[in-house]
Amino acid sequence: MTIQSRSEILFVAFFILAALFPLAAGLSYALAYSMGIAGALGTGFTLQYWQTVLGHSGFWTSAGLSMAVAAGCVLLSTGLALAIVLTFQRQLVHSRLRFGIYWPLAIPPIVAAFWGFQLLGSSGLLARFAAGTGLIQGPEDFPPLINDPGQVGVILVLTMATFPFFTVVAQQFFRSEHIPELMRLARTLGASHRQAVWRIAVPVLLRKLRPVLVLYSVFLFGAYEVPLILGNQSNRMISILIAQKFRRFDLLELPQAYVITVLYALIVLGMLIGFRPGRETKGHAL
Amino acid sequence: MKKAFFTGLILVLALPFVYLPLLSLATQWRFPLLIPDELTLQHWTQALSIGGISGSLLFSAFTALAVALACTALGFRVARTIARHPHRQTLVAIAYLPYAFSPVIYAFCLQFFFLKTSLNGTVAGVFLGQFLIVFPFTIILFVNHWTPRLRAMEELVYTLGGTPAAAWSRVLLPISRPALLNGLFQTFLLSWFEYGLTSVIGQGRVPTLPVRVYQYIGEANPYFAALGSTLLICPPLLFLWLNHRFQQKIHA
Amino acid sequence: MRYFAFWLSLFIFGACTGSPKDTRPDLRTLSWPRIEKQAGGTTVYMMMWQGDPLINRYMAEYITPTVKERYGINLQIAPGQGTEIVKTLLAEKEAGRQASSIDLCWINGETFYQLRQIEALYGPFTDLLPNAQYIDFGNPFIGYDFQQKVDGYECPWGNVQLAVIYDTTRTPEPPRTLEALGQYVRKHPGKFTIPYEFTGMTLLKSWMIALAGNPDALNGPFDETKYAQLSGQLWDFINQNKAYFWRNGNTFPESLAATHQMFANGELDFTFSNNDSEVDNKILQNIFPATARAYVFDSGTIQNSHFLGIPATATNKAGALAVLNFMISPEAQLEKMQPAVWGDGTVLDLEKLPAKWRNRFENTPGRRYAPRRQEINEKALQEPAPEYMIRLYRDFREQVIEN
Repeated sequence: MTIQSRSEILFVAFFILAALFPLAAGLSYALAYSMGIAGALGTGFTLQYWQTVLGHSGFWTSAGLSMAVAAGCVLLSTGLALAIVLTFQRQLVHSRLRFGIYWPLAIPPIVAAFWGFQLLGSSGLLARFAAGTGLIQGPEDFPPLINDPGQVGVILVLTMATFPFFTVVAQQFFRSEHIPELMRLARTLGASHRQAVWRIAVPVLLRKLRPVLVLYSVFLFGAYEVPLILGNQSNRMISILIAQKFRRFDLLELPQAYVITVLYALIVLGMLIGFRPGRETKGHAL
Repeated sequence: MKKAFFTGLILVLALPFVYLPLLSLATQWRFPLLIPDELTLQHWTQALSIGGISGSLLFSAFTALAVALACTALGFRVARTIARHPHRQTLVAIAYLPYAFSPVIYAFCLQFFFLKTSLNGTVAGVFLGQFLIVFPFTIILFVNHWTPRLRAMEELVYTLGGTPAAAWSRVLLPISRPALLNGLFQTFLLSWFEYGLTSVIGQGRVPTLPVRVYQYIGEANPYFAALGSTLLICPPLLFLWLNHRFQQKIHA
Repeated sequence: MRYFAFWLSLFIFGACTGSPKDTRPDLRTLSWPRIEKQAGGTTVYMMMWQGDPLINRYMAEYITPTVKERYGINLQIAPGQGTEIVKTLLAEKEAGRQASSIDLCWINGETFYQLRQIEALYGPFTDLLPNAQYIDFGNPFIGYDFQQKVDGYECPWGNVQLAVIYDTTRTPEPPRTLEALGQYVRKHPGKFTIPYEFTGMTLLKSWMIALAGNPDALNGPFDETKYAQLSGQLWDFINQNKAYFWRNGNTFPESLAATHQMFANGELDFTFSNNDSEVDNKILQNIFPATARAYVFDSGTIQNSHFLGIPATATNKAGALAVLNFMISPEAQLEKMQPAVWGDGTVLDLEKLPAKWRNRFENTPGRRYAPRRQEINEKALQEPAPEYMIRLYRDFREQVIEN
């Protein structure tokens, strides 16, 4: 074996050790705990905790809600991003928007959540604006946008944090795929502007964006900070449900926390295998 | 219509950068006041002298810098191996797993092992925990950087009698400078922004800035939370500006 | 593959080297000056609820610098309360860790009970503390924690009673019974809520005792039938009125700070505090309007103490003891009692204090807006057994929030 190939093996081994091994070990422990084999509360093999979680609506509503929030945000963000790229092309290249669109990337999720709280809360900035224009009398008249069962605040803030990134990526593809040229070509061949947008620009961008959209769906599905501060407690997103079962709820619910962790891992794995975001992305994964 | 959309867009993008610093300078800014009555530096002097914020700033900067350097250096090198590996597809797919996993849930999975090794609640533990999410990301980031073209250039050095050291120092590193800088920037931010995993592994004993901001939100102390937020968004904004200047220079 | 095996073995080897065993002498055999000496220059990690800026400031600006100055102790505070502390120590136990990441924690009631159950507390230790001689252990509200004898496994730190806070300009005649509250809520929809945290659950316990119609109804060990009957009535009462709560009872605030803020903004007509004199410190801070006042229901409210405990696996027990001894010293207790500082009731028995200190306690400028202590003392209810609290947390979630 040459020195070079030895070091190559070492690097692959290191990669497996850092990327796969801890996750596999953690999930194995979670599985063992969820079946009563590990942990101080373990009393030997049992499927009781799995039955409790799968038989109770809590997990299913959380998983469903997280899916819905992720889908809603991705949909809204994609719509916004495409609208901006197609409407403000000139500004994206020349004006302050070119720099401005990057600004939200400087906001950490915890700050985005705090900002959402300050903006959308019933005595927040929007409510003050509404009070200033006489639309509402006091904070109680302002519609609940945060901690609301509909998760409006969570979706809005996650969308505010996501769409600029989608816009940046879509703009890159807009150029790299020569979409302006393609659209011009279509126009010379007699297509209307509308047709050029809907038949050429949008489909091409969506196809290129697909891996990013899938990856973001997975991220948003497991979002934590924003629903932690803006979410609703009877309708928890899955990360919150898991964290609360681990930390705040009754001691005896600990094995259930591990059950839900394993289920979450299975869903993420399913999404990643089902849509394979890795196949075509080019490191656009901030 | 178009104009309103544009104004709205600029407002959404810029407002937090005006509001958060302003809130950190306000006192008793209550409903229904749209603008604070008076501005004061009292929160800043208080926070920076005793509030523990300066300690958090150091903690965060130190951790993020260490994570960024370690992950970028290792990731860059390991990505080369993976890019040329016969099982490249599988390995890259593996890299997506820890990266896509919600950090806070990953942290709960790891907690047992971190406790076993006494790493829980230590700076080293937080560093390792963040490394485990950020390092796989650098593989995703760099694997496409190692193109066949780069390989051909490297082999050309060897054909011309150059050593591997020369290939790295004369060709690979200089040509990869923008990619490396981008890697450093992105990994720094991943660590700088991280809250979920840090709160679990650090157990509150490693009070990074995001942990501190969450604490202020929890005690309904919006002025301090805004102050911490302002500190959190400054470095990334600076990076963005530098990057913007850099791009402009290239285009000019 | 050899390399992989090497790395793996390194990892596993690393994983197996546990923390070193504590070889220092048993503190019980040491004199207090020796303990203080051992504590000098060490770091003490304390886990506590950090939901109140004033309390955080008392710790950061008074306790921390003073122990640093006197003993050279570096006191580090991490956020965490109740179940979080229990789960942290349980997870450490599961991992077989001999050295806890916590040296000192702020606990009471159900947390104390659960920590005792998993044998995670060090003790008895209160007799080691010189300042413990002044503590009023004879007072059932201090010597007992949720019907459990403290037995030296936690040290009293403060004593408070739950109070309802309202604004006299908005609510000149606040409801003093459960029935009156029901009527009030229906007349003023959207202005009332129950925080889903420690204070809110303590309020529910006071109501359960009110529903039973006898202040001693819940004394003694946990009684399932009693709980089922009273909590059933309680959920009925809440669910019947819930539609008139803040946000139609679809959501309940999860932190007391948030509830205070909504009261201050006029969104809510009432907020609560486990500390009967909190209204004073919030007015002094300009958080509440000067017209805010506090009162206690006619049927009474829970009075309880909060305590400090030391984990059995704490690595720096000497340091924890030294900090604790300072925290229960007359000077630290007096400082803590000032409304502008925190306004927390003392656990010291003034009769036992040296005359100089007794004087200072008696002449300290007291509360202006909170009800007089003697007055509400008559309406003080004892904390029921911890299981009631644990069940209320779960059942409020299942019967009210998720219903």
